[in-house]
Amino acid sequence: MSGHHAPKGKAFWLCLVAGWGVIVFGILGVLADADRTDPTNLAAWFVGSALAHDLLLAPLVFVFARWLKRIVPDRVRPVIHGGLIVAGSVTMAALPLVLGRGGAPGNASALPRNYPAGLVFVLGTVAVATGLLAWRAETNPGSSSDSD
Amino acid sequence: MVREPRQTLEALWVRLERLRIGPLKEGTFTSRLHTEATAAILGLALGVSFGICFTTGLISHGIQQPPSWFLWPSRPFNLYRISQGLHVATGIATVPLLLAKLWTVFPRLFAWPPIENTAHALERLSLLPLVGGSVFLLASGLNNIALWYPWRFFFPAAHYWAAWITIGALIVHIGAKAPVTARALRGRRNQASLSEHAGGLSRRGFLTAVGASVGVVTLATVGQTVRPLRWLSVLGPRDPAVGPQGFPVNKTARSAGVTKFAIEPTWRLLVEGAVTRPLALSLDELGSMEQRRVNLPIACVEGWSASAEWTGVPLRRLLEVAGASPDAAVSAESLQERGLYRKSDLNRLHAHDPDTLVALRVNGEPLHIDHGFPARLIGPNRPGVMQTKWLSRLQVQ
Repeated sequence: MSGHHAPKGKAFWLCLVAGWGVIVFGILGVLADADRTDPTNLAAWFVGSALAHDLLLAPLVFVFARWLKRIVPDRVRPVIHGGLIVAGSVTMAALPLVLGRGGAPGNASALPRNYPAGLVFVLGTVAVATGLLAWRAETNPGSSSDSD
Repeated sequence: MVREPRQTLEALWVRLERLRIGPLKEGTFTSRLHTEATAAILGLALGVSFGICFTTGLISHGIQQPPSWFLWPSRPFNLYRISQGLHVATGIATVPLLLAKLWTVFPRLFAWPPIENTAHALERLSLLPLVGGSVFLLASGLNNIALWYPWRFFFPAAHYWAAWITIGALIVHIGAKAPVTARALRGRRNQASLSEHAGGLSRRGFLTAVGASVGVVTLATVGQTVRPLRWLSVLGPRDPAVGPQGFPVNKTARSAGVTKFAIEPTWRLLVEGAVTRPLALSLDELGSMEQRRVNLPIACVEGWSASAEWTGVPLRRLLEVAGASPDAAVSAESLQERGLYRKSDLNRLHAHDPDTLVALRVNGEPLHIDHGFPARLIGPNRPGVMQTKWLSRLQVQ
């Protein structure tokens, strides 16, 4: 995947102009509503979101995958990857709940569950399913999901 | 002799070739899944999910801050519940899709040459609002439903304007990638990569895992609005069966600062404004009027919902008694003295819907103070924050 990725054509330039029009509309909205949007703080979170992914999360995933390649046998690796994709996604989606930093004091109906236990339960279920699929891949190589 | 700018650029990249270290080196990313076809399929799925989130988000925003041309109907009674439930559930389901998409195209961040021409530079510049915005919208939305606010801005306003910026960037992205996506989906490329075997997931396996992730995060949370799944949704921010009188509360009487006023025997519901006979009704007087029983959900902007059986006086009956015009709009005010949601507006459709009540009882009991004792507004097809609790005044317009 390298070289000659430059977009071209009338449709691209049209979308570029329209899209940046909408982006500018959004930025003006942020500025016009500055009392509530706190533009500097919002900009920091907005850009920080991209950086947190590109400089932190993604590199970690790639480094982890490289390490995994060394320790997991080829035959079960696809299944392990699949299990980790599910586990990682659930963990990311549940993180704000599991960290337990938020809440509404005095409101027992807000965040009523034990979220760390909930995540452990989901990850445990994913681990068992992954284990069963890995066992099947190990004992019966022809049936792996990697056959297409 | 003057050289063409493009030639100058190309010459520059050739000269900078020795800077290609780390991820910029060819062959750093070995997975065969970093292809246009994988990106195209995930991109289409994201296009759908962002479309749903943006549309339902605009609807919710429009209901709460209606422009003059926007008249949100009171029917179907469940529409807001579905729309906002979809907004939050789709947002949660988008987490695995977005992570998978960003992973797939991550090597492109280090593509060489970094800039080919003006169009390419502008397209890549537009990726900052796209990636920053997408991650921000999901992360801030997830934080909001976990009631965690580690920032200084007001979440709804920031989330709303960030959505416009992100959708703008998405329009640019679609313009740039539509031809690539179409080509990839026609399957003219990447066929070779399907048949290789490098000990990793196949594309089908990868997409199956992403699909399974969508299913798991959805099942783990959607029970907060789809009641039959509540036992399965161990990560649901709410449980529709947990709370006073068997369903959740968003704002308690204590946090609204109404614990004293709400139980005052001198409490009266005032019906004022554009009326011929202003009213000041005690709880007993309201209770002696003809009561109506309706089954309506509290449908929260945070994506949870719970139905209950409400009993009370139809708002339109009160308007009739007070002599308001049959197409009057109403503003319902709470005992709550401060706060954004101390007041809600009912357009003429909501004010005169037969099921819009000044509710006094829920599930057969007088309202719990956290559910708005002595009287609250409940109506079809309205966000929970606009079902004003601890009513004090109905201002007729």
